[in-house]
Amino acid sequence: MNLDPNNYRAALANTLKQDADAGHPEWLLPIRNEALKQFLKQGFPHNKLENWRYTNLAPMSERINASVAQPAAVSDAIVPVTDSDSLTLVFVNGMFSSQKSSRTGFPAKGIVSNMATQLDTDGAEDWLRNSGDSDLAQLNLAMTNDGAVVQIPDNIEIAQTIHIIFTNTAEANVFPRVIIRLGRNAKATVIEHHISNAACVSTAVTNISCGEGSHLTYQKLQEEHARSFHVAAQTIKLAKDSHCDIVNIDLGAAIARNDLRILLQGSGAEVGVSGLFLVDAERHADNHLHLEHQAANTRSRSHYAGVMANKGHGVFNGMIHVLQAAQKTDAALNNKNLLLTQGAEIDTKPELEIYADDVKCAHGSTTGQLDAASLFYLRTRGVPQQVARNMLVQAFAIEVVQQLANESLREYVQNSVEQQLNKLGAVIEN
Amino acid sequence: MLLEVKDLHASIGGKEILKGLSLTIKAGEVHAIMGPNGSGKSTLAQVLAGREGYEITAGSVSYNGVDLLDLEPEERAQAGLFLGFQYPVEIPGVNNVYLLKAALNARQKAAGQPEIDAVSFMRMVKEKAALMEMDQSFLSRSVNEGFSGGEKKRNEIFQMAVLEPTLAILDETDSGLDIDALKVVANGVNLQRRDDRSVLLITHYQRLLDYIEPDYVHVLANGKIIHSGDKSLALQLEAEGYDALMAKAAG
Ligand SMILES: Nc1ncnc2c1ncn2[C@@H]1O[C@H](COP(=O)(O)OP(=O)(O)O)[C@@H](O)[C@H]1O
Ligand SMILES: [Mg+2]
Repeated sequence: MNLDPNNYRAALANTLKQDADAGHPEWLLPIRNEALKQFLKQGFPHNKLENWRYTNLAPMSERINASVAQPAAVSDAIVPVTDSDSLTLVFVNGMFSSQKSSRTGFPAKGIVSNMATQLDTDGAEDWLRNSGDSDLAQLNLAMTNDGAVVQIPDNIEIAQTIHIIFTNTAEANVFPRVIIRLGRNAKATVIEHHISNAACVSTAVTNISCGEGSHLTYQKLQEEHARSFHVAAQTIKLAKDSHCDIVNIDLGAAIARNDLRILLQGSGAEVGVSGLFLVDAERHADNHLHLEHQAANTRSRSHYAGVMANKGHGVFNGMIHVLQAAQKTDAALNNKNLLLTQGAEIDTKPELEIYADDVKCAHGSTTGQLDAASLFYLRTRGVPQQVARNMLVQAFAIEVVQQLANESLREYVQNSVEQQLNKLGAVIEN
Repeated sequence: MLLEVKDLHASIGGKEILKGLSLTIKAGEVHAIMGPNGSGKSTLAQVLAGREGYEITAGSVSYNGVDLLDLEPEERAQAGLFLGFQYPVEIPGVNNVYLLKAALNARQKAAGQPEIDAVSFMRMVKEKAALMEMDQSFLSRSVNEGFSGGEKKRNEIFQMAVLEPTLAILDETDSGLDIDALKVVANGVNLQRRDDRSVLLITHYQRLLDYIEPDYVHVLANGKIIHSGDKSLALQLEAEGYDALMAKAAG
């Protein structure tokens, strides 16, 4: 792939200037330089790589240029409200907006905050070192301007939902970063929400660690503008007896890619993952899920639902990887897909790689169409065909949607799904 | 004339099932169609409701003066047609009440009427559920999911009671019901009877007609109505079986 390093160097120069202006600590500079070096060495991911077979990022690489950070046009930003009680952190075009964020209700200082203003605190380096090994994580590390940091101390439960919103108003390149650290027996609910009203390019990184006995509910909702790119690398590490419920929903962007890596590192750790993606001719979604059972008695349940319309192309790649030490692993992974029209496509590959001998692992995938008998039944009640179709797609998605943390978020997502379906409906032929 | 079926021929997969069926139903009448298994009763019901996949090779169906076969299934329903399925479909993830609300609102919209308000809708739905001796918990469950055979049939009649159709076609709503459930279902149907509403009961057994008195009884065999009469025909069928009638028709 054609990759002009000068573009990236110019972009980095921009970021470094901002660091200097903001008075960021000196340790940041070598980290950024090294990350860019690593990124340029490996290059932009391309179709010849097994991992990127079905997702072509060439148009995205061309759009990454020196115009990294855009001034925040705060007034134009869409700020979805899903729960009036939640603690919201809003980032407009990559920069924290205190104006759009919650003013009150925050727990003690530093527990929920934006990264850029906290870089001089102890441990801040760790937020920027630990970037996982996804292909674009290094690029994020080199360029990121700001992000959210959620650090819950031992034995603390945050009752309010923490709602992190990355909203983009301009054709910006953004590099959002979310850091979540749960101490022992801590408990929190975090929503990471990406939304835009202009064609942006978002390279997102989320790093999560769940301490011993902690409980995290983490839900990501991606509804970027229809001509956007959204490439996300999420890494979640679970210590002994910790528990994480994850939802990953992709409703937007021209090209969306999620690399979700879950490492069950301590015995007794448990994770539940629910995913939903909706694609059509203009929209492509690629979900890569990698579950690594590293310790004994760990448990995972994963369920992804894909809806493909028109000539849309969805990709699901799910891997359960059980290391030798992870005896008594109990893992199940399932992907089901709905093809709404002829010409719609899904490439699905659930995989197992097992090195322990005493485990319970199941994986599978199914692909089908809307059930004609159900559709007819609804229509005989007077429900118009398009509405009936939407009802059945919503019903298909409900297993994932009902995992969402609160009623208002569920309604919000249901409405978003419905809007998408109505848009699709106009072009769906029988 | 509410419904006028004339010389209807319908096939599926190249096989002719209805072979010249004629039937006339006036407003306010209850008709029963009886017939042996495989004679085409469900096919008639499905064709009238607009199921895709059937080829109508001859004949016509007029409903309230319009060509029924020209309408989409939802347009038929919005015009007051209802089909109680012999095998109601389970639809996980679609809420019973949500469906009814969508159905009623679609009808309102088709008639140029405003949407019904949520409070009076819920009150009405609860009343009708009580009438069908249905537990309120059924309302918020997915359509027919995990319902027993009898509960599904009851749910069909409940839906009918909410939608108040002009013509209800009930396909073997009585089969698989114990006597208590049968009475509840029959009561639901009887409450639906009005001068301006008609019912087409499809049944295999005479016993339903002990509870719902039809104005006319028809015998359907091999894709055709071979005999029509009043309710005494049902008793005669019960005593003599279909064979005698079919032999007579053939002879
Ligand atoms: N989809 C189908 N394809 C082919 N034959 C069918 C189909 N559905 C029904 N039939 C046939 O049509 C005939 C009438 O069926 P049906 O209308 O269900 O009868 P009834 O309801 O009177 O028992 C039967 O012989 C049945 O096997
Ligand atoms: Mg039948």
